[in-house]
Amino acid sequence: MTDGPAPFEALDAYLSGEMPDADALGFEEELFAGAGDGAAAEAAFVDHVSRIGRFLLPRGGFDIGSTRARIDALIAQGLRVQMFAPGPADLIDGVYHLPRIDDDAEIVVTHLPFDLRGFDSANVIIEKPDGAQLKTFRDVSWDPTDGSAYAVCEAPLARISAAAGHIRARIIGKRGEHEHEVAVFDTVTAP
Amino acid sequence: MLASVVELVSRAKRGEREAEAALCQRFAPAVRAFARRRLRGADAVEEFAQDALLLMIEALREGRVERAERFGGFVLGICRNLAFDRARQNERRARLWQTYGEALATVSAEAIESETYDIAHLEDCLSQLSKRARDVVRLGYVEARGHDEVAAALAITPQNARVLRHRTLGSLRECMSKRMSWEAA
Repeated sequence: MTDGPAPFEALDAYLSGEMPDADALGFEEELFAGAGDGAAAEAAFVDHVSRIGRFLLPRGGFDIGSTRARIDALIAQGLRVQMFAPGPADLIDGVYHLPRIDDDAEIVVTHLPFDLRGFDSANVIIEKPDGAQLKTFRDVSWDPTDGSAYAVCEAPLARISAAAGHIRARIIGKRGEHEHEVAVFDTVTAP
Repeated sequence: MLASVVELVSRAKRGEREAEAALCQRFAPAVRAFARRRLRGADAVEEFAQDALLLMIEALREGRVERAERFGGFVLGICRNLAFDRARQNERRARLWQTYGEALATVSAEAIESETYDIAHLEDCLSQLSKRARDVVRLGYVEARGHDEVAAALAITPQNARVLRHRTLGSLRECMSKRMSWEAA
């Protein structure tokens, strides 16, 4: 149960049932012998991802870009969803100024009113205004009814991202081998 | 300094609830791994893990753990016995929950809600994976579907699904070993 790819692969073989039962007996001995002293790092990591993933899944945490119908379903299941729909009234000197995230918000949704229909896939690149790249949202989904995307985010993550200050989102649509910059979207969220 | 399992078992046998909680936290991943190999479905895995840990706590409190240095093997024995004896499980489970349930507070599904930074970190990392990789995490590790089922859902061979699982876990672990992307701003 040490770091490195081999133990991960052994754990995977064990979990998948690909490891023969005779080998699995010894693997289990080692797994449980190490667990007590915190040495089952790979099993702990898979467990961590599984447990938090189970929390995130019904809350839209696996929806990297969602639909209006899905947002309505999150609201219907009782989650406190705060929706940002940036419009002309929020635009000051080319930057959309978004309001503060409510203290009791559980989920924050930002509506990106662009039409991504017709693309094979889309990425959203997040940068600082000086071009320093922070992250890329990969394979963002969109609402098939109008092509816009609803970015779903747990409120704690939304607050952390808001603390980054002025950010620029570059929406990149991909069609075959070609990439097309659909829009550039500057935002600041009130602290 | 991480307390040794021998020390934790010794403290738990003296009735220290914190030591019991620490043992639950340490063994929960191994117990869930044991269950994931044998069971399909996230609920079934969680139920098995809870039962095994409840039995572990019961054994500690009743003084049935004789060799603390072999505690891992003792817990594994609990899991193996439990795997052979599922028929009476539901009735016994209800009683155990009522008697010892509070000991599992730190590893319960509800406890996750307090792990706000870890939740945000995983969500941040998931968003940087490809859709196919996210699907592997969702199907294989969140919904606990069988690996052949995951491969079929993704319309790829089991061999390719295995490679994708390894790469995805590696990418996720690398991402989660770093600070969150937004914190670099």
